[in-house]
Amino acid sequence: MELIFDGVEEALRLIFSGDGYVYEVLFTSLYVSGVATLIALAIGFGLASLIALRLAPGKTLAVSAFNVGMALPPVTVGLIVSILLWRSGPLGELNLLYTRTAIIIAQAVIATPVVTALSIAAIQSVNPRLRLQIAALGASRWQSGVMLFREARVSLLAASMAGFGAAISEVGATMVVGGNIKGSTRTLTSATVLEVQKGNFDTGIAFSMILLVVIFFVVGGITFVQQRRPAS
Amino acid sequence: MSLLSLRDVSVAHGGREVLRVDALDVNGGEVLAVLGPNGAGKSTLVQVLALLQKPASGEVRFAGEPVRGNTLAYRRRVAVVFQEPLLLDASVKSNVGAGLAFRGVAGDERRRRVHEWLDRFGVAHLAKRSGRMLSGGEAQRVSLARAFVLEPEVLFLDEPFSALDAPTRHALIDDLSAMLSDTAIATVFVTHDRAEALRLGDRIAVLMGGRVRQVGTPAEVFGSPVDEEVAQFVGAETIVAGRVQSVDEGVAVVNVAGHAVEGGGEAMAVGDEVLVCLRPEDVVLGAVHEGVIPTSARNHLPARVTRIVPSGPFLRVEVDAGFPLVALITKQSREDLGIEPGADVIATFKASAVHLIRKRGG
Amino acid sequence: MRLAIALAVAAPLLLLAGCGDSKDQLLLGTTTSVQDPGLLDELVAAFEDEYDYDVKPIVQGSGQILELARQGEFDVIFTHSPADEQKLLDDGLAMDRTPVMQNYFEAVGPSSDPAGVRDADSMADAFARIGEAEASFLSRGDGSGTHKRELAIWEEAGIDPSGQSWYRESSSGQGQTLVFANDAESYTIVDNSTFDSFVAEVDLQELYRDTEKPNVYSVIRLNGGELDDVNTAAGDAWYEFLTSVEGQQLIAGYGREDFGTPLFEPLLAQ
Repeated sequence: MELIFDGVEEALRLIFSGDGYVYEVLFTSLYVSGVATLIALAIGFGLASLIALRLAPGKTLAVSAFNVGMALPPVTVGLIVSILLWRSGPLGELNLLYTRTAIIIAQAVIATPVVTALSIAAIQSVNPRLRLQIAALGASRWQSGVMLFREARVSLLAASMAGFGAAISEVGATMVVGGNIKGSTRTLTSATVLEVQKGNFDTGIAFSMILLVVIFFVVGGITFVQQRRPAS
Repeated sequence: MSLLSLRDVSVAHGGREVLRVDALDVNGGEVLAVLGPNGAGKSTLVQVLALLQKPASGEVRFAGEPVRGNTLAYRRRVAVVFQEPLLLDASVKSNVGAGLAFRGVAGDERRRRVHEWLDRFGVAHLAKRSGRMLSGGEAQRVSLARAFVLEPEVLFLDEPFSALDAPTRHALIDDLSAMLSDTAIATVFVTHDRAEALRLGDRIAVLMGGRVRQVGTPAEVFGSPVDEEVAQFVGAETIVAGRVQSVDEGVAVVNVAGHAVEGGGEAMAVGDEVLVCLRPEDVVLGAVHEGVIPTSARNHLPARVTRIVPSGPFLRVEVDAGFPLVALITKQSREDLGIEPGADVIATFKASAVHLIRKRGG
Repeated sequence: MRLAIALAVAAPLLLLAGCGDSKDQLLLGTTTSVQDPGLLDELVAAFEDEYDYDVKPIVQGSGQILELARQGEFDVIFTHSPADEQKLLDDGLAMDRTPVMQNYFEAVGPSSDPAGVRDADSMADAFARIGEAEASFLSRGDGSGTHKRELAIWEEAGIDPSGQSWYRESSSGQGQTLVFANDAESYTIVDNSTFDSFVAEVDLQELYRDTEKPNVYSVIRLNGGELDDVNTAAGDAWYEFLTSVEGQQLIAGYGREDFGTPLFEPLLAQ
């Protein structure tokens, strides 16, 4: 218990001492998870609208596939991504292993099924008769899609938050593909693991606290936007 | 030439044909009421007419041309109001402006038209409210404004009042009726309610079991239901079987349980098995001591009151005239005539009020 | 919809395109016992000041580092598993192996020292005493160089500790294992560099230092002829730096300031 208080104290010290290391780690986490989430959203929203609106046969199969994908073990993802990115692997030429891009790829792979599965559910939860009404109002296919996403925006935001949460709190794949390199691929989670490995539990808790604060602000901010009354 | 028509349309769901329309026409400027019970295929018919679903076969013709391929251009010339208001999760203004936005109408033009129609439906004060925060009546008014603002060439109304309570419904029907006369937009108005169909429809199409059974003026449809089912549905509440005894100058005398009933008998032949259909409002009850009231009515049957049931502002009186007969009288008449269960009365009705339907296979 | 698909395809490509580093990279495989006392960060910083490389130190257990080195995933490695390193040489995958520094393994434990490890006359004897006393012992259990050394010592002592009630495995890093051992008042084995950098935080005592078999860290240059992906120039640069006077001095001095004692002994004449 005392360790947690020490951790909070250490977290405050790290944040306010202007220690560049902490900010660097914080920036890395926000950057890689932010970009990974954006990629997951682009792919996930696209796939979800295809599956929810177009796919007739094979829909159940696709939905189950993404539901299973939500439970994809991150370490497995990390391992497969690293094997692909190894210098001796098929994508070795790109020299991406142990870079932020590698983490972005792994986190996007982990977050995409989460975003996709939840977005399918979000789109399907819109009253199907409302879809009919939108078409009846003379919407083109594209306009219908936009309206539908607008209708499902609360649930889609929840899907985005879940995707970001999956990305930023991920550590297994992040360490395997990123290598936990100081100044480049060290994230809040991998820094936590490193400190714990070294036995510096208070610093580990400090990084965890910073992570929690980040999640609180990002998720809290989105929730605030989500709960606003519709603009007039 | 009709504005909108269906030809040889068939719609199947899960291998079962739910709608089959050989021909149905909507004329410019008219309100065609589609009257049918629940499950008759009314919503399917609206969706096919509005091309929100494509029929398995057949075609929709608009202004003489079959609508083929991309339906968007067509969908932008019509508008649909559904039973539920189906408002978007946005402000009332945005809801009413949505269809215009889809059509690229923007800026002042859109604002002006949105405001005009909100005003005409009496909901201008709700403009900034969320579409999801309205009462049922308000929401349906917004939904109607959202359709009218598009100035459609054809308007489809799919049971727009059935989810509303009676006072709200009556007020809205009054407004809608005025709006339809003002704009003269060709309208297909779908309902299961006879009173609504009578009130709004210039013509009535009766849809039952996925088929259009009868199309005609209200008088035609209500006065001459084409068969027993239609008759039962549109409300000729006395329907009894009989046999044609004689036909003379278009008047047939039908033997109904030993009593002679005269009715309109064109195309009837002696010996035909027929159904005698009689609407309760066409039956007049009189006191026995008054004797036969001198009217042009040909049928005067002594009867005994068996049951009195209130029906809206009226009383529905069931009498036994040798066969069951239903009459509709006012409360005043009941007092004047002393009509009570067990009382003897004379039931009077015109031959022209009697609709004879030749029984199928008879 | 089409836009969404276009975005989905374009976004990763843009990202991939935007991430070329201007400097050449140096992929260095090394182990936790170089990182945890803080030496690795110092070495990398000093190296990058002098050489035009962007170092990516990948810190993992020796087993994993050596296996990845066999595939040419690193340009050079810096490890402390002599037997496995020799195999790399024997298989022709390494050019040479140069010992550059060392430290010592120590048996550490509670100051009460119930097994009498203080009086041992060899590391094997120390372990034998622990086994005989059935005193609590915490192993790394993670296949690291330290873990391998520990198992070798048990063998030398003629004891098979696995499955014994007094023998447990932490499956954790060195620092974490020390903290656990401290809490459980267990004996454990640790290199003196890690322990010296940690000693202020635990009550454990150094009880026996194995000076007979130092823990030797070597730079292994990989054979670019066999392993196509290896950037031998980068490997040479790292080798040159660690064997240089400056590199050796850095190793010799590291720890004096922070821990009051040097943590590693440089091995090359200066």
